[in-house]
Amino acid sequence: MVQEEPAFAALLQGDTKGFELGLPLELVLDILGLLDVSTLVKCAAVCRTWLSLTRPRVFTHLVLTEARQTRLSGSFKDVLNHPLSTISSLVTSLTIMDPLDRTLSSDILPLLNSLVNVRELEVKTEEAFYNAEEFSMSIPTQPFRSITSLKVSTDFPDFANLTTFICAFPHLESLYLDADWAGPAISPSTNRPPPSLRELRITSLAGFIIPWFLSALPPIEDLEVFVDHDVTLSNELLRALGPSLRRLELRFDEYFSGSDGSFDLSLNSRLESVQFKFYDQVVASCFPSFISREIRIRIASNHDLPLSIVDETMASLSFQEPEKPYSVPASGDTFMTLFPRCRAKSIACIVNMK
Amino acid sequence: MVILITSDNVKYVVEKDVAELSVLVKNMLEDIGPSDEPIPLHNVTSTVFNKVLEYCIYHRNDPPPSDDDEGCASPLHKYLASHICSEWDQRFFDVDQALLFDIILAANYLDIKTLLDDACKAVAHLIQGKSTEEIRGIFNIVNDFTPEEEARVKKENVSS
Repeated sequence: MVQEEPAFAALLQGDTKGFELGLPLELVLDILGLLDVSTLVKCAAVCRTWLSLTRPRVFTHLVLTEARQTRLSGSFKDVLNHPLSTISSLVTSLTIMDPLDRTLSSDILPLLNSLVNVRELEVKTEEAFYNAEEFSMSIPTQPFRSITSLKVSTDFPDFANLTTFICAFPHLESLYLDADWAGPAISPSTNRPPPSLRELRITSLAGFIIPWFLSALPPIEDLEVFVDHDVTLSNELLRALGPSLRRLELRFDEYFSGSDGSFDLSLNSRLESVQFKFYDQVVASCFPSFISREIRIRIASNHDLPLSIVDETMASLSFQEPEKPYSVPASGDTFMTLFPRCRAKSIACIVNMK
Repeated sequence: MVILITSDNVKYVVEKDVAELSVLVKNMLEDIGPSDEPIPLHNVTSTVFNKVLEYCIYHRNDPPPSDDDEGCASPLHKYLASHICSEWDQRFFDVDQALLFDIILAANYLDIKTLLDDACKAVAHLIQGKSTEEIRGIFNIVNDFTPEEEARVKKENVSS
């Protein structure tokens, strides 16, 4: 919520009236930087200078929760359009949450096109079950065409609606998808994934969207996949990405068992890190070194994921250096028994337990 | 020992390690080399310097501040994560606002980072949870909004 941003630097050159006690502006900024948002909004009403000093810290991220939509209902237009309003120019990150009271959305959503500097957009439904209501379809996309980051945690009436929504943002670099839709798992679509995409995070059922990405795959560098019962789709994606992939996160839940298949990283020749997560907890972080045929592995002490999954996945990597008889790595061999498959391929695992 | 002279011509004889907590003094000592020449502190009065000295003597053996987490956490996080001021520090900063601001200015001029940080925290602590009116009082600021404008700003505040 509190973050530096360019508009802030411009303010530094602004007038310093209002600091009768003569503290230099940079020190006042240091002090304001220590305050929480609830105090910063009090500071904003102190005088004109303080308004301009505090607003960039308060209004870079606007989260339209149901409670806030209720409070703003009826007055939002007025708040946005007034000459003293700072929201429209300062908000760079916007989160829209689906209110249970739908009349609120119709009140607030049409006004969002005055937020001209938004770069990150998040749309979110709180309901846990599939809910293909009008919410997702009522989000205005036109004003946010230049966003680079999109988080979708809501459901769509059908697959075409979802892809149309994603493709409304042609400059997307980062996409987080936790969406569901009615109708067939995937249907023909003329929309193509944005070629600028470099980061893709897919959770839960949204995994069914993978074939759509494969139809015109951008060179994704950061990938997170939720591991469903079937790893075939994930493996197809991993193979298609090949050397473009740098960082991979695999997220498991209790329904995954080792018999569901294993991952194939043989074509991901430039991977820098692979993280294994159990729900949101990081179980293991692996950092392969392709030149020295080594993998540094950090393991959390408490975890519910069998390490054989880590072993099997990491052993699928292709190392440049040819296999050679196993030699004990300099830092010791204590944990090598945990990774028999890597050992069989004479990959040195340098393990760090925390 | 180092001889320091404040702007109101009061002479202090201070142990070198204490005086060197000020980066300004440390640099000046390096510039003039071995010498007994007194160092003038143009922007600090003896009233304020007494407080600064008290702080430096108490904190002379503290480990130097680290810049490890510089840039990765937000200022607020740094503030919350940083140690809660000791009882001694709380008493030390329990002074009137004019003196507190003078300490900030002196710490800034003398370049004593820990004192500057702690004094800024003390001011932030003073503001935290106060009403707009009270904050104006603390900083002696005149409200330059028209009543309509002020109402407007407060209205916008509900969207934060």
